[in-house]
Amino acid sequence: MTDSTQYLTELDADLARAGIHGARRKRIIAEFADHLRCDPDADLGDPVALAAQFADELGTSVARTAAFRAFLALALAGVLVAVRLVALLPLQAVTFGTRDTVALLIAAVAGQVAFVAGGLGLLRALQLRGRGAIPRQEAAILARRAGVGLAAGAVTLVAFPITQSYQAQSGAVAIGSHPTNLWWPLASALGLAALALAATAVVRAARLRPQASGRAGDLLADLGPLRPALARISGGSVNRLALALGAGLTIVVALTGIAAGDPYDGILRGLLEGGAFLGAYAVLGRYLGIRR
Amino acid sequence: MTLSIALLGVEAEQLKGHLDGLVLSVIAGEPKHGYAVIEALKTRSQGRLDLPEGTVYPALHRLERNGLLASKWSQSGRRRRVYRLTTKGERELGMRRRRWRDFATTVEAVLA
Repeated sequence: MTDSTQYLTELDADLARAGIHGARRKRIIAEFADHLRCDPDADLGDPVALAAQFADELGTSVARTAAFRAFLALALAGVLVAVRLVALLPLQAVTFGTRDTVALLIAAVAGQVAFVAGGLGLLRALQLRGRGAIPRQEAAILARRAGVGLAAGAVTLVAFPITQSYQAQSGAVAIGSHPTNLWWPLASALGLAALALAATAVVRAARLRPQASGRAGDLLADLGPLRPALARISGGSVNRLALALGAGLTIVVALTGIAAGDPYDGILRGLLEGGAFLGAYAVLGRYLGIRR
Repeated sequence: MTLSIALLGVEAEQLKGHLDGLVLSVIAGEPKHGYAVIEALKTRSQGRLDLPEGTVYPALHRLERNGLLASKWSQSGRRRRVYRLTTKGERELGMRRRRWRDFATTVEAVLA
């Protein structure tokens, strides 16, 4: 084995260890092979350090791309679900069985998790615009937000008890009024395909292992120009900010119920929404880089 | 990981923020493959920039992902990846040149 061949073999293995695969890795090896053909004595540098540099240099844009694609796919899935929901309203007239009620609740919770994770991913990606190498932890958080958003989006699409809704209330279906029509299955398939397409970018981001050290930001880092004001209100504490947001959500939902003439239902739903928000914050907050 | 740059006559710290501009500048004249980019950097700096050669490639890939460069395999002769500036890259290079001239003029005015 020549020195050049050995060098390229080592570089190939180190690139794989740094999470660089497929066409990108083949291309890097081809470029380095060409360089060594031009100058067999060239000092290209330590393969381990070079692989880490590639991961660092590509880490920011790969992670941001994953966040943007995830958000776009979730936006499309969100529109499809929203159209379907509007077409089925009012759901109050529908009597669901226990299984359908659970499915509807899962779809409702997953939909909100998808919205929050995807939205926060987009916010963080925007905040990182123009940044060079970002810390490994920051890249991981972007990939997690995109991944959780996509997974929750898929659950929302799959769990929504559409067949039961058709059967219970086929007359209310505005877009295609027959239970056997293909609108919703096709729309679901389109939504799931968009999510799967975005998932490839998320997998690429999750596999890449930048080496840059440093801490990732928390929720306050996502807020951009609002950060100083919200940091002042919360005393710089993300936990306090989350409590305030949970309380705000509870009050808004309760007020909606009161305005609709059903204060008990409004207050109950407000408490459930606020509780679910704080529960999700407690469970996913650290994983999604909302709190440290 | 920071980019390590071995230099002859130029402080590494001075160069760190300028590598992207230098790479864009040598590609601006005509499309180049990686080896030619590194050779052009050496030639145009009259040997005063002696970059560890491999470190330029990650920067080329990043600049391409950020839309400042585009690349394709050459159709003639040996199979090699050739980089060219995009319109966005041309704008970025123009902005970097203006900023550098402003900075150099300001420092010159104070130092002189």
